[in-house]
Amino acid sequence: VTVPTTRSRRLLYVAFAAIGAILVTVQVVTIYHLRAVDRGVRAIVGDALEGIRLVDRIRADLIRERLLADAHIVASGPMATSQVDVQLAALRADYEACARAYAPLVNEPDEAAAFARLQDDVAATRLPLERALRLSREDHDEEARSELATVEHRFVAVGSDADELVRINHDAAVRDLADITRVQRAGGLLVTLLAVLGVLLTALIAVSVTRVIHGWEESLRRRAALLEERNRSLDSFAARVAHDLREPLSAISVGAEQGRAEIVARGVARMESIIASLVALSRVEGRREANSDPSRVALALGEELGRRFDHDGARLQLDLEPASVTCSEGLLHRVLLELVTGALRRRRPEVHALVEIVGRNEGDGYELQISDNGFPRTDDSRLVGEQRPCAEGFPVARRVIEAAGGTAIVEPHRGPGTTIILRLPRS
Amino acid sequence: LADLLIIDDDEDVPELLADIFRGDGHQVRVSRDGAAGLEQIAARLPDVVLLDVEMPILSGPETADMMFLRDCGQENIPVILISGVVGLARVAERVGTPYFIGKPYRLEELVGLVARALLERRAPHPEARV
Repeated sequence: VTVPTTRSRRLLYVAFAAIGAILVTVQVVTIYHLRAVDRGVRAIVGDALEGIRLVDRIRADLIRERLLADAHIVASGPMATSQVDVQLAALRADYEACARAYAPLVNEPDEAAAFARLQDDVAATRLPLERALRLSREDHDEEARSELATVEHRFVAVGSDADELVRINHDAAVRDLADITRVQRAGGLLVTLLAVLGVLLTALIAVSVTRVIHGWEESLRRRAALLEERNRSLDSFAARVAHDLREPLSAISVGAEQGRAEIVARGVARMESIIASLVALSRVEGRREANSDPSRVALALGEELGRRFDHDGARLQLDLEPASVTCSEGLLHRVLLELVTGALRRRRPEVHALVEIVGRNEGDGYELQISDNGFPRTDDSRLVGEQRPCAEGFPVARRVIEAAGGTAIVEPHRGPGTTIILRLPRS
Repeated sequence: LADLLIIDDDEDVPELLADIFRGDGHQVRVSRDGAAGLEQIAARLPDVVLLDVEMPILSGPETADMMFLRDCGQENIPVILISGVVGLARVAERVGTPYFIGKPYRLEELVGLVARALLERRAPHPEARV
C-alpha cells in the first residue's frame, strides 16, 4: 500500500507552482524581449529617417551656396559682400553639423562609401563656387559666371550621391519595418502558443493531481481497512491467548487449593508451552531471512515426540517432499509442535490417534497439510464476536506463518478430524 | 444433595471438580464434549450442568441450545458456564443463563455459584430465539 507523505505532497505542490512560474516567466521574458526588439528596430528606422533628413539638408545648403554666389554676381557691389559672407558661414556651419550628425548613423559599408563620395563631391563643388565669388568680388562678373557654369555637373554628382544615400536609408527603413512586423507576428504567435500551452499544461496537471490525490485517498482507505483487519485479528489473537492461558491457570489454581501437585505440574507445563510459543512469536515479527527444510523439521519433530506418541498409543505419519521455505527451522518446528500436540489433546478416546503431516511443492510455494482424526474444531462465531474457529495452537502457528509471508487455514470438514493447511513461499 | 453434570474437555479440572463435589456428598458425572453431555442428560436429568464454552463436537452454547430445543425437561436445568473465553458475560447473555464464572476462579466461588444455582434453579432462557 502506497502511503502519501507530507514531503511528497509538498513536492507535488512545489512542482505545480514551479511549472506555473516557468510558464509565466517565459511569457514575461518573451514580451520584454519583443518590446526590446521593437524599440531597437524603431531606433534603426528613426536613424534611417534622420539620415535622409540630413542628406536633404546638406544638398539644400549646397544649393543655397550656389544661389548666394549667383546673387552676389547679380547684386555686384561691395555692400552685399559682408551679408553673403555671414550667410555663407552659416551654411558651412550647418553643413559641418549635418556631416557630424550623419557620421554615427552610418551602418553599412555601401552607405559609408556613398557618404564619403557625397562629402568629396560637396568639397569639389565648393571650389568653383569660392572662385566665382572671389572673381565677383573683384568685379570680374563675366569670368565669375563662367566659373559658376562649371559647377552644374558637380551638382548633378552631389544630387546623385544624395539620392543614393536616401535610397540606402529608405531601403534600410523598409527592411527594418518588415523585420518589426515579422518579429511582432512571431512574438505574438509565441505568446499565444505559450498561453495555450500554459492552459493545457495546467489542465493536465490538475487532472494528474486529482488522479494522484484520488490514488492516495484510495491507498489510505485500503490501508485503513488493512489496519482495521489487523486490529481485529490482533484482538482475536489476544482473546485466544487469554483463553489458552486461563485454562491451565485454572487447573493450577484448583490443583493448588486441593494440594494436587501432579495437576499443578501439568498446568505449569501447559503454561510454559504457551509462553514458549509467545516468545517464539515475538521473535518472528518482521523476520524472514531464515530458511528451513520442512521435511527435516518434521522428521526431527517425529523423533522428539516419538516417546509421547508411543505412550498415548498414537501414530505420527510423515510424507514430506524436501524443499527450502522462508521460515526459520526453530519457528517452523514451533508451528508443527503446536499443531501436533494440539491434535493429540483433541484425540478421541475410542480410536488410536493419528496425526499426518504431508508436504508438497506447489508452484512457487510449499504446502504443508497437518490432519488428524481427533475431535474437529467447529465454527461458532457466537462465542466471542469476531473470533474465528481454530485448533489448539493454531493462532500462534498462523501468526508465525503469516509473518513468514505464508497463509494458514483450518479446514475442519475435510477429514474425520481437523485439517490445517499451511502455505509458505519457497526460498 | 444434588446430581451434577460437568461437561468440559479439559484433561484435569473436570475430574478434580468431580472429586471435590463428590466429597461434599453430591453425585457427579463428567463428559468430555457437548454431544456426550447431552447423552448423559438424556439418560438422567441432572440438577445442575457445569458447562465449558469451547469444546469439540458441540460447544457449550450449542449444548445449551439443544437442551432448550428438546423441550423435555432439559430446558429447566440450570446451566453454569465455566470458561476462560473473553466476553464470557456476553456468551452467558446469549445462552440466557445468569450463572457463569471465568477461569481462573477460586474454588469457593464455584462452590458458592453451584449452591446458588441449586437454590434458585433459574434455567437458561434465550429470549432472542423465543
